[in-house]
Amino acid sequence: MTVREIVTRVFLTNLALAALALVTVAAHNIVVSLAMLSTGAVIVLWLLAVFAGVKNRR
Amino acid sequence: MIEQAIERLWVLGPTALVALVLSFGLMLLLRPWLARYAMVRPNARSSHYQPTPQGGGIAVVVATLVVAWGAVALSPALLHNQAGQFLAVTAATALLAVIGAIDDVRSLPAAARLALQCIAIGAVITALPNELQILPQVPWSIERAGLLLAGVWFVNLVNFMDGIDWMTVAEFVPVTGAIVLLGLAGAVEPLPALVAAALVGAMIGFAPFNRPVAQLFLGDVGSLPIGLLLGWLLVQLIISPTRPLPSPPASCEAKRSGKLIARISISAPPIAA
Repeated sequence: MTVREIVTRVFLTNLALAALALVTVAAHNIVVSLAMLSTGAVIVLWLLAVFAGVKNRR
Repeated sequence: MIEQAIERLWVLGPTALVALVLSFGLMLLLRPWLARYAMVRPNARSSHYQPTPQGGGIAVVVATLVVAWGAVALSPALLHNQAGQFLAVTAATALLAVIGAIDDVRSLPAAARLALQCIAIGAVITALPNELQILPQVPWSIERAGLLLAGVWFVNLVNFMDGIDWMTVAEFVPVTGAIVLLGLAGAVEPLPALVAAALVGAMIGFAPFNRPVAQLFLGDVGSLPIGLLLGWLLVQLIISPTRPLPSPPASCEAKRSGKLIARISISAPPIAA
């Protein structure tokens, strides 16, 4: 994986997390907040799994 | 509410734009000088193979602070009772920039570096309102000690990421951009929104120079102080008392928990590599 590909994934993940945070503030609801937090955790897990996969293949 | 957002956009938009132009211009001016005096050799975690100039952070820090203070000078109401905090953050940012600049040119001993970082971050935490408590269940002194530890960790984490092309940009632009949007919606105080706008503009001005393969790095002179600025912004995001939208009926505790979760989720951007 190139540096550009890694950085693109990190950037998109950060954009997604920022969007989730904006949704929680707009929704102003504990259930939505927990759902967005869980979604964010899954996205970060996916990112880490992708990077771990690349490392293991090497 | 839309009128209010448009009114804020008239402040935050030009702030970001001026910071972008100033940062980009300073980068162009400084680059030849940095190439002569502040070259960094590649190491194990670098994504470059050739010696590359560092110190572009000078432009980012100067553009952020000059533009933010300029906007405050034009409209003092933006300070909104946070003048003391802003002074402390500015002084601490300058201190970290000086430490970073010295470290970029000649390596400082780790203990001295850590002690000076603790002083800078401690000054910012001391300037926070005394009544502030993020987690009321935790004793105040322990929370403050935790904030100091988190601050030192965060500043060094940002510094660590500077060795990877565009990584700092990929982290700062979405987070500071989101803080600006929350500022437009009235969910954060005017001052943090203003600083976020200046910082996002300055980082976008830096982005073309740090594009893989990077022609310029932030250096410690930039990565340490902007780490502090972002850390302060994230604390402001958590403690901000205002809300963007009328709330539906809900218990106060549920509101408080939801607010904290929302803000913590944006306060923890993923860090790769």
